[in-house]
Amino acid sequence: MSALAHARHVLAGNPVTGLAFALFALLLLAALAGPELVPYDPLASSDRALSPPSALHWFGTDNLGRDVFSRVVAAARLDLGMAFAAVALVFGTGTVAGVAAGFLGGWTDRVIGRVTDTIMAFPLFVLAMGLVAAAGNTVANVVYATAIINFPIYARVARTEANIRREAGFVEAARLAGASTATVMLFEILPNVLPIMMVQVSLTMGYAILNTAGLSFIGLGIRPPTAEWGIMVAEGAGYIVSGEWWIALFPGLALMLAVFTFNLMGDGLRDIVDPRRRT
Amino acid sequence: MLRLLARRLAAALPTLAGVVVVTFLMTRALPGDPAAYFAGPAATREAVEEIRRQLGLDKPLWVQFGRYLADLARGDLGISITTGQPVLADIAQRLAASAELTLLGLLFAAGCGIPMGVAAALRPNSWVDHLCRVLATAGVSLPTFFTGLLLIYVFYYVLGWAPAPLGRLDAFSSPPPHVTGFYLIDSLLAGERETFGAAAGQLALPALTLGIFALAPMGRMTRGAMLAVMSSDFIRAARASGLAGRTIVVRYALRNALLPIVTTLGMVLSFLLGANVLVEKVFAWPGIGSYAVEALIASDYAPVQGFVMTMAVLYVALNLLIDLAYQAIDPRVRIEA
Amino acid sequence: MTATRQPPLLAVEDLSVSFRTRSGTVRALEGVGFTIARGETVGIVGESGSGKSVTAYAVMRLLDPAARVTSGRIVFGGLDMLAADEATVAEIRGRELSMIFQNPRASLNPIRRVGAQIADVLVRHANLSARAAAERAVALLAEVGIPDPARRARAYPFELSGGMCQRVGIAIALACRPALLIADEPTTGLDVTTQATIMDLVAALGRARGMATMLITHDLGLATERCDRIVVMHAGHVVEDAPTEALFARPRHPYTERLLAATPRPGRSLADLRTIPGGLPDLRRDDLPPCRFHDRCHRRSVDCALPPLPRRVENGRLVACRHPL
Repeated sequence: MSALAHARHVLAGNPVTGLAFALFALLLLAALAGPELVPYDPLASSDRALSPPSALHWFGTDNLGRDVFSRVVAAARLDLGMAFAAVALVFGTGTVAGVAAGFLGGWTDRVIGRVTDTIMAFPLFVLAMGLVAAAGNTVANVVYATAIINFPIYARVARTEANIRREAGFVEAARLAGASTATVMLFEILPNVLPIMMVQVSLTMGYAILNTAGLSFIGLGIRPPTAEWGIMVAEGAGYIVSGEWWIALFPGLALMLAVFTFNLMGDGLRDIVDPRRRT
Repeated sequence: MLRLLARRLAAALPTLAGVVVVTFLMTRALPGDPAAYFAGPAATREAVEEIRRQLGLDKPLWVQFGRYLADLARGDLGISITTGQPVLADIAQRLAASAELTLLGLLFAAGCGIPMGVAAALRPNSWVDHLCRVLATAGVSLPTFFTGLLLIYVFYYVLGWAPAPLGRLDAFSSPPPHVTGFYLIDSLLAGERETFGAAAGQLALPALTLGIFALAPMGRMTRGAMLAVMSSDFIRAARASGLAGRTIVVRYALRNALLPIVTTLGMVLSFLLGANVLVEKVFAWPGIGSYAVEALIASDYAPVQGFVMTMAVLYVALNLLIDLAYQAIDPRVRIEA
Repeated sequence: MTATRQPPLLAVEDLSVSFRTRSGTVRALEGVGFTIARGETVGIVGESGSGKSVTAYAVMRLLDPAARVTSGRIVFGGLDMLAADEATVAEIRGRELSMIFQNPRASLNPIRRVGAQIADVLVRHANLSARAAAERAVALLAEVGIPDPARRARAYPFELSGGMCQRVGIAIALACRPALLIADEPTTGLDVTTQATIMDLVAALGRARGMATMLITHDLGLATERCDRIVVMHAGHVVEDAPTEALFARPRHPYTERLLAATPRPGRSLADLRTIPGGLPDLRRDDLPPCRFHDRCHRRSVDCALPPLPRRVENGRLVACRHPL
């Protein structure tokens, strides 16, 4: 069965995964075209402050009269962008490091293992806080910190997969044919490890989004007045106790939707790639 | 058994060493002038130079590290600019607040998550199972701070059941005499019923928020572990002996399933300690999490460093405890070691 | 099938069991029937996949959730096992009817002391107090030949050898003096010497208590040694059912003959052993012939492919073949 036909077969049997892919498409649309399509300027304040959802402002307005709906949609680009950058970074470094550790073993394995263990000795969010505080409160550092705290899981998964395939037939064949170690790693192991790593990417996208939003909630990374889901919730937090629920609710829901989508997609991808591991 | 404990402690030492080295390097990795960082944004040139001398920032790196270790041994984690107190004293004062909250959250998560996972495992593919799985996925997708705010809105603003999220006690109560620092325990020990009620009321929502967050991985792990155990040979043999359903599920299956569940606890704790920070901000909880956040905003660096160090050490200690708990449950590991 | 006038202890009649799997419905058992009288030792013999264990689990009502009993009756001690409710069956299991398994260590709770596991059964069925059950457990360990039983009762399964684990399993199964013991390949996972001692133990205990035994094995030699009667199964069918000596002296079904020829015996060398050609048919097929040995049989004729599956009963023997030997 071809890969596409197989994927379609799994999707047919699992409508929830199909839903996840549809939501993902929606999020992608918001991120790519959102800021151009929204009705109001996300940064423009007005004198209609703190008005509840209405026909004019679908998600209401915040304390500065800015349209919450426009801000939520426009923020998708930033939130998804930051998370994606972090995940792309850690996917590249973690996969290579893990494959090297699993395939080469010995000293490489030990060093990478030590690095992983040291990172995992910290509660991960706390470590991210410390790293951003030490390196400076910028968006770039938030991305780096998120990448660093996700490094262990990528390295570990890649290492396990590389280990399994180290003694496989096709690897032996390539070695016998005279391929160098680097070539074997790049052209034999890596392509086989990639599908499982893709599943991991989808699962950690959700985690990365929560991470960056959490960091900005406590004031690290993005600063106001930029529209980002985390600080929007932080800004709206103060108004919850006085009943203006919409300022914090909609960005929060957007966050939940994004994370939920990636988690479901990750589960679905896992079913397509490796049904044995289905939970 | 003692030898095992000693061995496990020794194994934790390299991890602790790593933590110390990393926290040291983090401060020295500051872009720009570390002395200016520690002196704070409002410091004068002389103050900055004074700090530089005090911290020995002009000396070579390994000398600095030696001083750092010596300071740690003395319990000197620096001074907080905002409170003017030694960081260690600040942390010691606020630790109990965070600990009480986190423990309660964990208890709630285990108390709900484990039975939920068991129920889902016993009726695979039923509506119970599907409901639990949806709840688990939703729980994992919700940002902690958002859950907290939702709970405040529903239970405080709309229903009026919960008190205002202003900290550990309401405006009318005063803390019980200090024994453990846990208000729930201390108020009971002192016989102060109203204080207990007030403290419990304030704890309810934040603990619930943390608990919901940890519920998902616990429930998921329990379900997976129970499913695996229930299909094993010895369970079938136990059924063949006609043992009662409850005996089989609890005494035979669950106890064996606890092993992988306890192993997951380490990961859950990592999440919880991080989520703690967010929950403390939402509920104005006077714990070490909000301490660090306030210091961060004020560019007061020493408390942040102290906080990261404390959390890491706590985490290592808790992992050690989890490891020991595992040994206690599983005789195979215990006796072989 | 037997000559006694009493009703049989266990009567399996026309039992058919199917499994729903992703790749189709597996018709694991079809029309299986046999009886076991009180005190009788019956061997259920066949290749792996012939349905022996499925039969055992069906009798114990311990089938996988994916299994469906599509027809038949199982009557044990007068009780209709398939129609009874779970509570009634749970009462009987472990007390009147019990089982020992192929992998003895895997059949014990790995993190519970063996004495406690025996005591669990006693507390459940014999209404003993915890302390009395613990004492009785030690006594039972002594009965199954475990040395230093008081100390061993506090051991965990991983501290015991395979043979000792099987003895513990036997102690658990026999704790309440059941009328029927089902032994599912009890010695397959053990070394040869231990095999003999375990089988001797089961036989001795069985004799002493007038207990019936259903011995499930792929080893026809073992069955011939230990059983009063042998039921030969192939691909979910009973193909022959006869007293041991008669079966051994004169097998009537082609499959039984093949099995005997493939069984090592003293006086025979390995070169004398003959294999049985082919393998078990795919039980998911819709077009299975009525005789499932059809494709491997050297005596088949055209009318063998026509239903129904023939069953001939003569002289207390059953053979399911149109052209018996």
